[in-house]
Amino acid sequence: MEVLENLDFAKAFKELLPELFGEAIGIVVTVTIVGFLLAIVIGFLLALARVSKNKILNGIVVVFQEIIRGTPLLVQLVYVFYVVPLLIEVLMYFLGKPDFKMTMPAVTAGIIGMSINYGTYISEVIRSAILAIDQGQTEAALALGLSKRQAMFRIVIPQAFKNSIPVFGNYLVMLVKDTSLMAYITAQEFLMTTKAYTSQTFLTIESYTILAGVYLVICIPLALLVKYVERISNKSKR
Amino acid sequence: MALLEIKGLQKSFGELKVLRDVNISIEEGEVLVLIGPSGSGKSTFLRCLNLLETPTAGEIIFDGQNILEKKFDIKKYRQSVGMCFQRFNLFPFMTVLDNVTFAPCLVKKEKKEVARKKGMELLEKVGMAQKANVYPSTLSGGQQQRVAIARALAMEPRMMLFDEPTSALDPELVGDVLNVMRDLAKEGMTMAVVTHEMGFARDVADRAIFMDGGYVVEDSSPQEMFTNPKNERTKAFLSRVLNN
Ligand SMILES: Nc1ncnc2c1ncn2[C@@H]1O[C@H](COP(=O)(O)OP(=O)(O)OP(=O)(O)O)[C@@H](O)[C@H]1O
Ligand SMILES: [Mg+2]
Repeated sequence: MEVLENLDFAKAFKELLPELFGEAIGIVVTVTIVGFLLAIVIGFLLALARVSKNKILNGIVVVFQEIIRGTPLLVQLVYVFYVVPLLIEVLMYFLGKPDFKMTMPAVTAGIIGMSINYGTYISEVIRSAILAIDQGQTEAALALGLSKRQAMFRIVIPQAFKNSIPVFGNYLVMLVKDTSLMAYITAQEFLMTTKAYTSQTFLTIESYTILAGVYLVICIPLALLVKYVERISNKSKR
Repeated sequence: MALLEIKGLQKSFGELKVLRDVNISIEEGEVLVLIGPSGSGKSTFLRCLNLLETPTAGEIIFDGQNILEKKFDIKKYRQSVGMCFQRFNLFPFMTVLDNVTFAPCLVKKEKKEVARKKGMELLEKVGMAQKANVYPSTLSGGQQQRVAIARALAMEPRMMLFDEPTSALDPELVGDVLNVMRDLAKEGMTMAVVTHEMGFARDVADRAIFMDGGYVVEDSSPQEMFTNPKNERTKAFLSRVLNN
């Protein structure tokens, strides 16, 4: 069989790996770290809005969450990359700046899309962690003369946040894998880089096998690290 | 003048009328025990006293001021009324000493060193100084409750509320907590205690109050109430409790 006779893993290794571990990994790491930190910030703010007594704010956030959870991440990335710049141009047109042109760098779009999507899921983690903290904690704080806000921020949230950390870890591993979706919005991440390489060399089996291997090499240790952190944090709990 | 005067206090949860008409006044330095069947509203009453529950109607006059008035500073008031809970509610992510110094530093803006020094004295007093730097999860229930008492005292309250402080404890741990409370009473702290510890009530309390059905059914000295209860419901309740 021709494919088997032409297999050349050595060549693919030599040529593709440096590419993957060059610019591509820079993009993956950047989007993962920045996107994830932003996701935690967004998740935290959304969770706070959800546990607040403000009905209007609550309603707005619920609608937002439903929109994000009801549409695929890939569609959201495409939307941020292609549609949002156009919408901003339209807006600027009506603000009297008809010549305004906007381009959205793929990495920026990736970070925005990922952080909003993951932030929405993380917000539910934080929210349920806040609700899971014993009411007695708040009562004890109030009884000591703390304000409601102080009780929330100084007593409830530190505990809720700590309890959420193991779940954050799982989302982190998922986010690394989901950076592959950014190939669809022209980001030169792992998948896009590999695809470009195969279209030049036709080393399809080799390239994509290497690609899968690269994800595994990153994600398995990361997952083990997450498990480890989870174990430590469980131990330090009561 | 009474330190705390409760007039016509009512509390409902929706349709459920828990407190119907409660009138009690508590003098400075007085130790009051509240007894009554489960569900009679003892906890609700105590929680109304520091406004963890908002009364539906009535007046609570503390030191001459009606605390239910709109512009009354609830946080300030809560600093002068300490509370201990059945389930301790220590902050699990802080050491014992930090539990004690946390509120004075945050709420009263006490200097860290001052608060720590005072905190250690309080822990000494409740017999927990040697555990100052451990986390609450490593303590027994009785030890946790004593730390909770120290935590409440750190705010220098004028009055302490205890809601069944020993009923979540193993029997052999009850004594240590009761001893701390006994010392507190001796020092002249004004206390309102919901408890099933009849021995403690008899030895320490100045007054016993029997609540049932949302009313104060009987209000007398503990000796009087335990040996010679007037009301039929008090009699029935006491014979059940004292025979167990
Ligand atoms: N937050 C609440 N919402 C609705 N009902 C409540 C609430 N808190 C208490 N109740 C009800 O009020 C009644 C009195 O409760 P409370 O806890 O004050 O009784 P208690 O005398 O302390 O009883 P126990 O000896 O069991 O602690 C009960 O029927 C209880 O179900
Ligand atoms: Mg109760």
